[in-house]
Amino acid sequence: MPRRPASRYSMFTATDKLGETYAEGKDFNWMMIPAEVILETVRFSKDNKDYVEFNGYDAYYYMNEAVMPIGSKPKITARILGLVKDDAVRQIRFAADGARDEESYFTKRKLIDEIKKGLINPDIIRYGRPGKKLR
Amino acid sequence: MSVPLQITGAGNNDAQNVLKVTFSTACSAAPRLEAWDNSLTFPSVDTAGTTVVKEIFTGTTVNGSIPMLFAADTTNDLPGASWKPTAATAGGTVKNRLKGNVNYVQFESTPGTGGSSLFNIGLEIPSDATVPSSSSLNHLIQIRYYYSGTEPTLSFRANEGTEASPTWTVLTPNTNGLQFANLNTDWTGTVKLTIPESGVLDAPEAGITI
Repeated sequence: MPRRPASRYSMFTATDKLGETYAEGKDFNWMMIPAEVILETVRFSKDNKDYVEFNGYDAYYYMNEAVMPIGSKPKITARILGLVKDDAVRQIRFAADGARDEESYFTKRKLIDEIKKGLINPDIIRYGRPGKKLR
Repeated sequence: MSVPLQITGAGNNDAQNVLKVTFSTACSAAPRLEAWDNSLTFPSVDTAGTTVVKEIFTGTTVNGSIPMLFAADTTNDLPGASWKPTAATAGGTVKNRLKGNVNYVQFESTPGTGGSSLFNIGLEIPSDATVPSSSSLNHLIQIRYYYSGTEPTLSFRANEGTEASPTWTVLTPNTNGLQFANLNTDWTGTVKLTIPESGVLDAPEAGITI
């Protein structure tokens, strides 16, 4: 009696979906690890350095304390704010050399409070909308 | 030690003790390391890899349209400094870009009972990669193994110790998964990878999450 192997393909019909055939008696199987990468775009736009591209078309608005081209020698840090989901405001700070420095989250209420207190100048908040680049 | 964790040495580094798969019984031939599209939402994973149509496998103009994933068999040796292959080799080799059964890593040795295969893996991100990336880079790493008689059970481990003194932590597929991220990532928080201004960037860190 032919042995019935535990693999998902019989050793007598050992042709997998990829068309590879293995010798009789040589069973095979596989096991998977899921893997993911969540990319983001955080950079000063190449065509207009007054603007910041934050995840491209996903950005809603941003605020930067000082405009600085990455690659030059800025003297002060910059901050980008992005409304990422519902009430969450994401903040990314850049160090003086233009490198990404730190990332944190706070609420939209705190953002509004800081505007009311004069800690953030609302004039430099650029508004956008989903599906449209900030220009 | 437990998940989430940062994997020590992962990527284009001269590190041997990075990821490990252990076989409960002997294999009949050396296994393969492959990568395929994952159609399910991380950390769920398909029951088998079937396609390689996502951008992570087709590449982009900036990276020369080659697979972004690369891996090396480190079972017996260190991979060497800056070991990332600059091109994809057809079929299997010990260091390769990963794309289904077109380009894969062929382990050199056949694990015996309780034996293990070790590998290092990295990701190259070009500046013109698609953002958001949820549908373009979601993939699965597949170990294809061969046996005669009793089928081995496999267990996966990641090193969160040091290269010289590894601490191997078990990861559970479908519950845990592999992620690539920025330098100094807080692996208990949001895991992101920022694309480069130009050229390509090798993901500075990799970890196990969820």
